[in-house]
Amino acid sequence: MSAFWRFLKITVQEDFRSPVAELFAFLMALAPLTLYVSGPDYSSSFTDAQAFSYLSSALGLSAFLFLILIFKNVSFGLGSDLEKGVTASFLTFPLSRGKYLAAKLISGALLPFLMFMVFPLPVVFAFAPRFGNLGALFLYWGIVACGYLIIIGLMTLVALATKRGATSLIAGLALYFASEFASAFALFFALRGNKTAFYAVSLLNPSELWVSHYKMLGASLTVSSSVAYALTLASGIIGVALVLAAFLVFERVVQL
Amino acid sequence: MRISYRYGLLLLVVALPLLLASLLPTYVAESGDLAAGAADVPLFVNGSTGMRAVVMSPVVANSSVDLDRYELLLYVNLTRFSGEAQFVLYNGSSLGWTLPRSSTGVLYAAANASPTRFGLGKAYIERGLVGGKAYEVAELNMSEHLVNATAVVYASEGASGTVYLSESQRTLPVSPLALPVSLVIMASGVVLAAAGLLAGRRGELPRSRGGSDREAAPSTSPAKPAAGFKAIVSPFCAGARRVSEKKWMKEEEEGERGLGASRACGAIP
Repeated sequence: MSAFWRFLKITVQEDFRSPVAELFAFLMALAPLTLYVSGPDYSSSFTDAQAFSYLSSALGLSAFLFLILIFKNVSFGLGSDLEKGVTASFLTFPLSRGKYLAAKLISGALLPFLMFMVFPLPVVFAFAPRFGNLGALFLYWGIVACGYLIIIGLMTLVALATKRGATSLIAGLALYFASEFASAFALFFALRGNKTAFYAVSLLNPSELWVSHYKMLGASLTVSSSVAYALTLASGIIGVALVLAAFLVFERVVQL
Repeated sequence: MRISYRYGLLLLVVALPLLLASLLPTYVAESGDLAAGAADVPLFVNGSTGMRAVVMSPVVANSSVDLDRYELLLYVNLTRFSGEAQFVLYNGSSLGWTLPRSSTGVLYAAANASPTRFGLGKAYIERGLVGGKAYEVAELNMSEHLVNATAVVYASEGASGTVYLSESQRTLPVSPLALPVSLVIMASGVVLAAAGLLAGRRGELPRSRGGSDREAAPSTSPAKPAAGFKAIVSPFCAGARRVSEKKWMKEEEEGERGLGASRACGAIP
């Protein structure tokens, strides 16, 4: 086993030490059960809008749990290692900085994303036996991933810049809640005809675009599918750019 | 690949919500089966705005079902509809939907939400349109109640139809596959967890088979996470130790060979 895989295994064991993995897997699988309380009937066939609406309701809580895992893993995994000097010790082994950060991000963000994709699905399909709109499912996963990539990138950059886990956590929380509040305000203005702020804020929170596109907030705010796709993609590109910037900063700037 | 009991545990915790979902009550009656006091009321033109239908119907629930899960369905079915129109369904003053415009044919309208809840999903309305029925759902837990619903169509050129009420027990339709699938996943989880525990216990046996067992014997607790810096770096240290041991053994062998050669040539007695 190469040094990278060995280190990845250790990182995964650290990030998902018992009972973190079990607890989050259980909560993610349990979250769609809240649909039962809201009680709509999903026995009919689904259109795109219905499928998106259903997935937003069913997977919303699981997406938030996914975000909590990101907060925990990036701030307490990467940030804490940098803070305590463990990173410097690891880098004395045959492991490049890029591979070190890649392993941290795979364990801290990619694995939680896989958990979010897989674990809620049994209950999602149990509640909607005729749900066959896999395109909507992939779209929803993509929207969540694009939105959270920016948070991951920013948290990683802050962790590398400050070498403190707590600062990285605060930055992530601040960005998340700021985007939620900004979305609410931007929606207010968008409903009165000024969509510029709404589109700008949607880069941080692309799900709002699709909620408007499918007219889940009423017919007064319309967003075309091309605009929604373009801005979601732009959000993902910004997130990827931030993550790549974190790699560059770690390899060339950060002094351990 | 070493099996950890945690893989089994993960399967178990994922199967548990599915098992819970499969145990939730599902449909027990078709809508309309429990209808009592349903009223067929012809729609009538309400001035220049179009049609208006008012239904006031006392509905007595069937006492043989659980009233906590009762929901009221209001069906609106319009026929001979033409021109552009918008349809609004009211229940008292707390509920109203404006439905999409339609140019020809039969307009079916639907709405699905409790008037006491915030947030109405337009998607559900469209789903109802596909189903061809209009219904408004209200949760009821009374054995006898009076329903007052109003359906209004305005901006239409002419239409007719019926509005009627019915009542049914309706909950989420959980797939019948949920129970067997959850049981299969749980069984797989139990098997994996047991296998992992057994493998872990076997790994705890004392190393009595010589130094070469160091590679083959699994660690004492496969699922036990590495704790602290020492545990984190231990695999690297072990790797480095193995390399140095091999090097040392090689050197020792070469030394032995050298001694043997020296003995053979008589240099060393």
